[in-house]
Amino acid sequence: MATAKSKSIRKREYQGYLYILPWLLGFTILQLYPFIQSFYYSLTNYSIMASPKWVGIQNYVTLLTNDREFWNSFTVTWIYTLYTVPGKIIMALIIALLMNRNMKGINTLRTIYYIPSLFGGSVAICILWRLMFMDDGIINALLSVFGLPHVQWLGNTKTALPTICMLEIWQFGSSMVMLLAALKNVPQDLYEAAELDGAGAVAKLVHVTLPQISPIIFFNVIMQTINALQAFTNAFVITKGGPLKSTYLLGMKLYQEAFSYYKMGYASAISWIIFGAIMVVTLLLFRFSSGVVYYSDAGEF
Amino acid sequence: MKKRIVSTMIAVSMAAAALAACAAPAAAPAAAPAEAAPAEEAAPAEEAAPAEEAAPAEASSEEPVTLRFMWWGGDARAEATIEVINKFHELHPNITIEPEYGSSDGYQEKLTAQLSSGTAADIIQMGVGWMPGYVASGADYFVDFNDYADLIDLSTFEKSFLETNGNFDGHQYGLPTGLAGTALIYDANITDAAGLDLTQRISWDDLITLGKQLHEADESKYLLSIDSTMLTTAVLRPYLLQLTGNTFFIDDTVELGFTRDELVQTLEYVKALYDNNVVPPAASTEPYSENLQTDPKWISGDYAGMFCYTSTAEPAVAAVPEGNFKAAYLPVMEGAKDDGFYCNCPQYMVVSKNSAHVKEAIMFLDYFYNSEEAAAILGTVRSVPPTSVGQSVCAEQGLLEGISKETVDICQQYGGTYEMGLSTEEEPMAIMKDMLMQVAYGQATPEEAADDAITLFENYLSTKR
Repeated sequence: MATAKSKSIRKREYQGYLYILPWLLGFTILQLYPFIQSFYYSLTNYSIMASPKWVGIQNYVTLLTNDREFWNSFTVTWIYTLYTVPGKIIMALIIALLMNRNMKGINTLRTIYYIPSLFGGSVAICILWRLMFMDDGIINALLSVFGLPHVQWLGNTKTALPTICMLEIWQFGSSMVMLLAALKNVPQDLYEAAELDGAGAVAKLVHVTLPQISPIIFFNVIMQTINALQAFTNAFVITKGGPLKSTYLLGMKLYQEAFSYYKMGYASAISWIIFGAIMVVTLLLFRFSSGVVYYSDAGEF
Repeated sequence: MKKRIVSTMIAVSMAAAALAACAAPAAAPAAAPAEAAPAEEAAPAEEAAPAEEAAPAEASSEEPVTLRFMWWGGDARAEATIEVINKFHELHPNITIEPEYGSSDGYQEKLTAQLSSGTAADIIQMGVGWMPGYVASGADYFVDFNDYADLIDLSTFEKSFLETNGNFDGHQYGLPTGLAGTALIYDANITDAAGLDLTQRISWDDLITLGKQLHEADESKYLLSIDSTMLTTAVLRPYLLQLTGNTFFIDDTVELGFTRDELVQTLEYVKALYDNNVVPPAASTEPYSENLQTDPKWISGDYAGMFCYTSTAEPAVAAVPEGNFKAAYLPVMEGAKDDGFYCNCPQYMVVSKNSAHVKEAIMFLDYFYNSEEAAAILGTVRSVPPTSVGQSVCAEQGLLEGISKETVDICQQYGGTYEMGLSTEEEPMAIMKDMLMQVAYGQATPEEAADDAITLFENYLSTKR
């Protein structure tokens, strides 16, 4: 009896594999295989036109010790991350708090604020952004209406990076929606209790709202950080990494090395370094979160 | 039991759907030729037959053949090229040519991937700067036109021009599509008003004198609009070539063609262009890099002239309708060891060695280059034609006038050393541009920028030895 049962269970397990077969095929062919292959390529010199030549860790050594551009890109990417992640989340939080009230037309307002996120990091929006921030673009035209001097948004090394960061921050909609959902979930009795204890608006925000929605904030920090470290489209379309490589994100360098110079091995090494950086940052964030993020089931994440 | 049967069936159908999805891309190309065939001809149905590939080279000329022809360029070029393709099909109803065209953006990336995977088109429009890299890779991608002299008449090209354009160690892998080179154009309305004379031969120092004079007369005006790309190809490399007599990198020895002092001197000249307001600040032109004709200040006539290519002179001039544009001589320093500038071609036409129908592809190119009918349709969409046939047809049609012709005429007077090769590859070009921009933005002195760049150039060269 027992063996018959386990046999049928085993049979069911096979069926299970059959069910996930489509995903499994996609995963192994489109993700796992390139993933492993790129690690192999990162240890070779590979130009597409000739077969890969084994060079050991030479690519990594060159990257870390001899490539001035890599460290520039590394710094630029970090600055980009430090601007966009907090910027986007604070923006999303402020708007979510404003949207979290019962007033007429609130749903329309929420939709309007979500629209930029629908466009995503699309090329069309990047081009629009470039036109807006050109010397003779609409932003400078607005500045002159108020009698303010023109700013060379994209031509100046100091302003180019903040300008492309603004595009990323502008797309705060999906973070906002998540935070809004979290805000709706905060139990009203906590606010009532806080009010009875004499808490004002700020105290309620700091001591009730923020701790209650901290898991969602944390989730957003992680996801946005991962996205920011991989950013590419903005820099590629708006500034092409310039001026003077001031917006030369790691993603751009990766693309350039791979598809302009055909140094696939070198580019693979860069992608593994980006992967490593994301891994380390994510682990550090989890480490840091343990005392700060509140889970109502008191469980560890 | 019943439940299990149903679930198994569902699973199988899902798996089948997945397999179908995987198979779809492979099936698509086979179906494509039939769809893409020109609608007006009766031939389309039969050509999808893959059977002919069994006997490729010796196939009789009546068997249906499908070729792919890939190029980049604007609408005018596309329309003319497609018309030539259709005319050729009328002459040879068994040969169908599928056009694959688009912008130059991403063209090389696509081409490299296709060449290395053996899926490139039969006939390919090729960038002059990329070709040496493909040939040097040793992969033997292209057909040598000399081997097919019975199918294509190469005598209509000037012999010496063919030898310097598309010829690699005696192999004619590419056929030049036209005459082209660097150009210097200016709006005579602006220069006349300021009393500047650009009709004479000029030196690099003259450019500074003229630019200073213009800017002093009117603070908002600059003599030349320039971006990092043109600064590299029209100033840095020609200046060094004239100064040293060497190309930027010497391809034979894989070494720098200049000393540190010579590079510093060149960068000091670049700095002088900016310091003396001969060219506008880099911060205002760099956002329009590679599209300088779209700069509102160019359109409004704040810049008197521009370094460009003979092939981009036309759109640059068209952007300023009220201008009166002329071609100026290209600057040469006193005691120059080399002319620094030269006339070459905007692109090559090449035939892939992987093609199953090399003969037909070459027959098409013979028609493309040597038939009067094709020449009349193509006009100057790929610059002034390189063949005697093309030139005489264009001259009859009055197409050899205007700024393109003027710039080509001037360019042909320079016999500088041909530099395509290591010096024109993407990677060192990026280092050159970066170095120039460091100086242009005032972020580094010529000495600092030169030292920094020389390290990077050496890194690059060490990967090429």
